[in-house]
Amino acid sequence: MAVDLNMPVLIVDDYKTMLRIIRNLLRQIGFNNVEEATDGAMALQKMRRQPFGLVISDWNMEPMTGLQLLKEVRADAKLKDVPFIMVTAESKTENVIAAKQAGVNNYIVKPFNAQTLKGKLVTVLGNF
Amino acid sequence: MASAPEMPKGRGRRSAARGEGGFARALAAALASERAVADERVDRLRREIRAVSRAIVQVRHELSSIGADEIRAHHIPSATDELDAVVVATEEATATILEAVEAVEALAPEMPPAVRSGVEQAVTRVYEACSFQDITGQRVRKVVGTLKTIEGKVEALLGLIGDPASPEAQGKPKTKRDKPRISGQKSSEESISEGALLNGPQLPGSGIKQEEIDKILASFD
Repeated sequence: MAVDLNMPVLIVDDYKTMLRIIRNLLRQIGFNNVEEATDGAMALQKMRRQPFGLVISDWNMEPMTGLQLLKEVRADAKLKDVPFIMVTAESKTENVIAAKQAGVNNYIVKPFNAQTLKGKLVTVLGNF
Repeated sequence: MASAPEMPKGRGRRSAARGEGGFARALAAALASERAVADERVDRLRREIRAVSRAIVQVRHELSSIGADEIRAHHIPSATDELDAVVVATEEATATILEAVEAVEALAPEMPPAVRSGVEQAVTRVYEACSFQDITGQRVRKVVGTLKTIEGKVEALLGLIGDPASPEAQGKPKTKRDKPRISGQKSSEESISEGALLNGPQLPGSGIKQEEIDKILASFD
């Protein structure tokens, strides 16, 4: 099935600069329908109000971390199948394993480039 | 009342008296010896207690001379405030850069194709590079966290030993921070196991690269 570039994408990061960068890179790739959240709790609220085709989230946030958000999403019957990509500076092996065990679809370590982001989107969503 | 035993008479009495006297002298000698030992121990304890007391006074004097309370109440908060200001300043500068580059990107469709391609590639590189601000911000937060840990330990040490130069020791109210924090403490409700996963960006050479991450993810398939 072809990827719908108009699908709503939720990006989650407590640094507004990072949200802006990811939004710009997504726009270059072709995704223009992007919503933002600055922490996991806000993201969860938005996800329960409207459907999203993809979540791209940071890990290190307060009060709810990206890992906690991922666990909440996977525990929610209505949200559990939403594709989830972690984009984070956490680069230890145990972090990757914990995220994968919690159900992450892919994991991008910061700093990253546009090519890596697009590659992971293709891996998770399919070719576009 | 029972009557006292009758003392032997004559030579028997002198002999008995000599026996009792010997016993008493031996007893007195033993007691004197024990007392000497006890006195020696007490003297040694006194010397050790005096030495410990002198050491405590010296430590308190050292703490006073280095201004431990000033470190806790002024230097560390000042340092963390400066670091917070660095984060704010770099965030503002990055926002300015992004605004300018976004303006250039918006003009790209009006450029000749050959120029447009080059401009768009350059714009993408700027976006990628600007993520430095996120990384530096996280590193600064780690430093602030470390400084706060040091501050806590200095405070605990002062509480344990007591700082004669501290406002409390002088009957003044404890020095408080005046400036609000920008970097916050982590929630105390955070589980210990998830807390261990919050390490932030690793130093060059530590942490794993994207290729290794991809291999780990693939190993789950």
